[in-house]
Amino acid sequence: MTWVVMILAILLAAVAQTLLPGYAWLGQAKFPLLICVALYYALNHEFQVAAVAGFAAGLAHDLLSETPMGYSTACFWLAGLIFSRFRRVVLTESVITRATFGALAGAISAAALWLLLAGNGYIRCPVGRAVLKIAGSGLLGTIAGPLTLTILGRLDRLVGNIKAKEEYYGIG
Amino acid sequence: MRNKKLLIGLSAMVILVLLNLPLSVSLRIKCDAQDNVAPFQRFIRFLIEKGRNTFRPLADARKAIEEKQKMLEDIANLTFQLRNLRVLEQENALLRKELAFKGRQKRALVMCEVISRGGTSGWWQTVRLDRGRRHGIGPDMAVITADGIIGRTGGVAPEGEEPSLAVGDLTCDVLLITDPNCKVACRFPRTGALGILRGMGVSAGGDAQLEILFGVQPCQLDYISRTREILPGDEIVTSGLGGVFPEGLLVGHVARVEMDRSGLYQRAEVAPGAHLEGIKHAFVVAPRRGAPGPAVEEEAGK
Repeated sequence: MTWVVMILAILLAAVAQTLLPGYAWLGQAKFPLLICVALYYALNHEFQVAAVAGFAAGLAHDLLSETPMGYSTACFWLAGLIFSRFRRVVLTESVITRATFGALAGAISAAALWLLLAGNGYIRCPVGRAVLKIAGSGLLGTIAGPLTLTILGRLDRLVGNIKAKEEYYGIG
Repeated sequence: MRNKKLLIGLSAMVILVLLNLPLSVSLRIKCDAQDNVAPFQRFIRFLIEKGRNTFRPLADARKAIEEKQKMLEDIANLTFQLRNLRVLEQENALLRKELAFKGRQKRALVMCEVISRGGTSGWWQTVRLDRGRRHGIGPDMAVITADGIIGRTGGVAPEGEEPSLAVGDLTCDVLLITDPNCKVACRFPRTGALGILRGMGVSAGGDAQLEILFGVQPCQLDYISRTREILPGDEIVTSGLGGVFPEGLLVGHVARVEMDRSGLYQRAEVAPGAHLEGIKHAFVVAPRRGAPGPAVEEEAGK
């Protein structure tokens, strides 16, 4: 069931991310919903699931944008691997943790993509505007992070994914 | 532990393959994915519009009455103009025939709905339309609204390389004229001066016409002859020399004009004619069936 929820979450996040507008006063930053889905799996599921979620979220991001194939996939996959290392050391249920990680995920993914795209000549974006967009993605991540993680957490509990995992690890 | 390493190795290998996919293959995959997601996007947009339209009449009933009155006046004016234009068209056709002019390429307008803006990344100024190859749309076609051009079909590419043209069977991406990658060959109908327009992106302040969601930065028109007089408010149309945009489509109006630092040419700031911040519908200027499109012409040239 974990995989069904993951596919559904990635699909919905991808569609929502394309439909929500980019905010001019945040450097055209969009709500980083897809990276937040990857973040949820990194902070709440075992390593293998986190790696697949990061990969799939990045692939969806690549497929629905003009980004060359593989750029977001690599960024999101790496982000998933890095964030999964914090799973055991942070309080994943805390709103502050979710907001902080959401901001970090948004800002880091935007920064990594800017470096890749600008470095390969796909975009001509001045540093000032890029910094604004990175900060904007971080700011939107503070909203998207808690929202996405809460919704997905409830959904996972509803279908029994989280409970199964807790019993597996002997925590619950 | 071994599984972990295997998964990391496998994922890294797939990412390497994705990064090195030939452009045509990755575009095909992208187009198919976008075509498959389009129904979801269209459905959610439909729900949003439906909700908005349900409450809108309650909010501005008076405005609707005024708008209706204005539209009736507009229809009367346009009907009158259309009648005059028909006479002129007949006269024009007769004169062209007599002068043995080669007829202009016939074009058709394909009406499309905007289903999303900016993709998932927001790094480019693009919109996605709900029509694609099946509806006669191909790469490098002009996209217009009643107020002027908004961009061209197709994607983006590094400078000097062939653009990655994301035109699927059911959807297509439009690179807006505000994007720095979009360049348009333009002409001033008043003076006949030529120039190249390029987008300057969006801005969160300054001289930009700031909207809450989308602040359009004026575009920049370069390489205007220094000997031609250009005035603020001058109309700018496409020249047709670039090969993508047909001649005579409204681009916008001059907001400010100045001499370039080099002193070799003039440069103007241009306010786009189309309202790019709130596009819901657009028209793709496609060749009529039987007439070769820009891409086909190019291939024939090769």
